[in-house]
Amino acid sequence: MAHEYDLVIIGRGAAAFSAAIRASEITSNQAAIAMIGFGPIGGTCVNVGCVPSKYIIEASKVANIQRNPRYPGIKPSDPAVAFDKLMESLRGVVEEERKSKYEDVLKFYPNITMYEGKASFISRDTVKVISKLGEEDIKGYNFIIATGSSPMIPKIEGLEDTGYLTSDNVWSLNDLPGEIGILGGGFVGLEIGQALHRLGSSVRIIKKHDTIARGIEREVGIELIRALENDGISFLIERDIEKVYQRGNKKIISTRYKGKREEIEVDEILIASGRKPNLAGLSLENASVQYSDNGIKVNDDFSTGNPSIYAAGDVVDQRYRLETLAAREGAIIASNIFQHSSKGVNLQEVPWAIFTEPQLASVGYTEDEYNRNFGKAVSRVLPLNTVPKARILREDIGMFKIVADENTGKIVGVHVLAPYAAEFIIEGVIAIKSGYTYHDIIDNSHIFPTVAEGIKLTSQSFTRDMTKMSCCVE
Amino acid sequence: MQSGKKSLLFSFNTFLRLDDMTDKKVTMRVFGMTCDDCIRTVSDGLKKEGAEVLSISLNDGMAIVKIDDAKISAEKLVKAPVFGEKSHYKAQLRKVE
Ligand SMILES: Cc1cc2nc3c(=O)[nH]c(=O)nc-3n(C[C@H](O)[C@H](O)[C@H](O)COP(=O)(O)OP(=O)(O)OC[C@H]3O[C@@H](n4cnc5c(N)ncnc54)[C@H](O)[C@@H]3O)c2cc1C
Repeated sequence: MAHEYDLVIIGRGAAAFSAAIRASEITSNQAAIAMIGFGPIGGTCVNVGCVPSKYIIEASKVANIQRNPRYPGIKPSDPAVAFDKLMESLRGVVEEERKSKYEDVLKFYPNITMYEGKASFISRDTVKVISKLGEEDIKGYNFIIATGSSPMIPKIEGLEDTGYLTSDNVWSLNDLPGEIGILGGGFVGLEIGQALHRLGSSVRIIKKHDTIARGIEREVGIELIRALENDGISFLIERDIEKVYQRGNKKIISTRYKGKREEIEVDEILIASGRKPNLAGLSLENASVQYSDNGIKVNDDFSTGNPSIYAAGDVVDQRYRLETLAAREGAIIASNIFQHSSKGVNLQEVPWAIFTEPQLASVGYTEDEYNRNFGKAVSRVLPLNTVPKARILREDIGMFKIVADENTGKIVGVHVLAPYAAEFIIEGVIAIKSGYTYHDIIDNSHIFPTVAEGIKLTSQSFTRDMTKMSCCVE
Repeated sequence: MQSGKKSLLFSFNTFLRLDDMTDKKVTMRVFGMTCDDCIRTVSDGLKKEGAEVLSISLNDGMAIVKIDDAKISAEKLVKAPVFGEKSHYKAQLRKVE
């Protein structure tokens, strides 16, 4: 007979853990929860996503400061990077985080049973768990599908034979590639690309379009490319990749550019062409759960075509793939199931960031989107070097853009390319969520001198000519 | 005249049948009960909604009640104030017979 659980969670990443913990809290640890998964516990974020990428980015900043101290009078020097030592420490940090934030946490929840294996629906309320040890059926009164996403590997002739890196395996490198070609320019490629470049690789990002990705405020994205080029990364745009192959110990990326063949020789290829939802093998048709190549289709409360099956995190067909969003959705679903609520998430209020230097952080509508949907946006753009703190930091590539509703003045989008942008985008989140106008932002005191002041200065620029302002005008 | 009689008979019959039909036995899983006091609180909360409590077990957290479906549905019962957002107790339907 199948084991029976109050809640069966498929996956063991951020969404899964958040859902399991919240469901346990709501039910005083009495809900019997099964968590099914394979691979390292904790899923993408802690093992191959947020944690290692942010670690290497911070380490590479130190190397960069040494090479480019930015202030006259401080002598630059070439950092002696022992890449193998750095990567060993990175893997150590991942292990520590995984242990303290996932493995150790489980002991506080005796109601959660872990199943190692792959889940596949055999009916509307039962999954088969397939593992090396065999198969077993698990029945659930409620399900959460939180199977995450994986790197999308484009179909390119010769790619499999030539070999490539993705964000799943780049962390096991011990030798820094001399020359690296990054295919696709999504945020993963930009973050890892800049980090490897600053540690000493020569990085070329090979892509089709001159922007970063759809849905990014265009001028801010283009400014980020300018910042990265200024850092020393090459962007080879308008390239169609025809094939890749091995020549000696080099990898050749053969592209078509302006009608001509162009070959790019590198030591390693990193694929950064976006991510795809992990749906393979779930047999969702057996459970009446609708999906497409973009992910599982959910209602506003994250329920699916089957009312007792919900989906959370990267596997959902939604605009963003973020740890914070996955975790929030997991917790909300737990409440929707056990507290009979019907909460959702307003994606317009969810911030996201690219942790390059400068950082790109964004929340809400782009100007184009707002105009398309509501037809009445007004916006202001403030160059970073208008902000006193940025001048003190000697940073001049970057910008602030605020999009507001033309009639009400309410803020509907905040897009920032600046140092620390990810740390202060929350002001934009609160503004959008609370329905603040740019006047409301102006009415709040900001600390001088901070980069965050740029949000206030941009708000002021809706009502004043900023070139006529003294430094600290309220 | 005829029709008046018919309708009387009809409503009488309907009443009888409905009375049978609207009595439902509901099995639910109640989370958060740890002691006899909890059983009392949950039991009182269910009675307040008009349910007749047949059994509540601390062992497996199962509660079996009888309801008049015309007065409160099983779906509404698991959302009663005793299982509300601020309450310590939560309930989920397991069977309605
Ligand atoms: C390089 C990189 C950097 C990132 N940086 C950030 C960042 O800075 N900030 C941020 O917010 N987000 C970041 N992200 C995104 C973030 O990591 C993801 O959004 C988040 O981890 C998604 O969590 P999840 O729970 O949906 O899925 P995952 O964490 O991917 O978990 C999915 C789980 O499902 C399991 N699974 C899959 N299929 C099955 C099956 N059939 N049966 C059973 N189990 C299955 C897997 O084994 C895994 O345990 C980054 C991602 C990458 C790749």
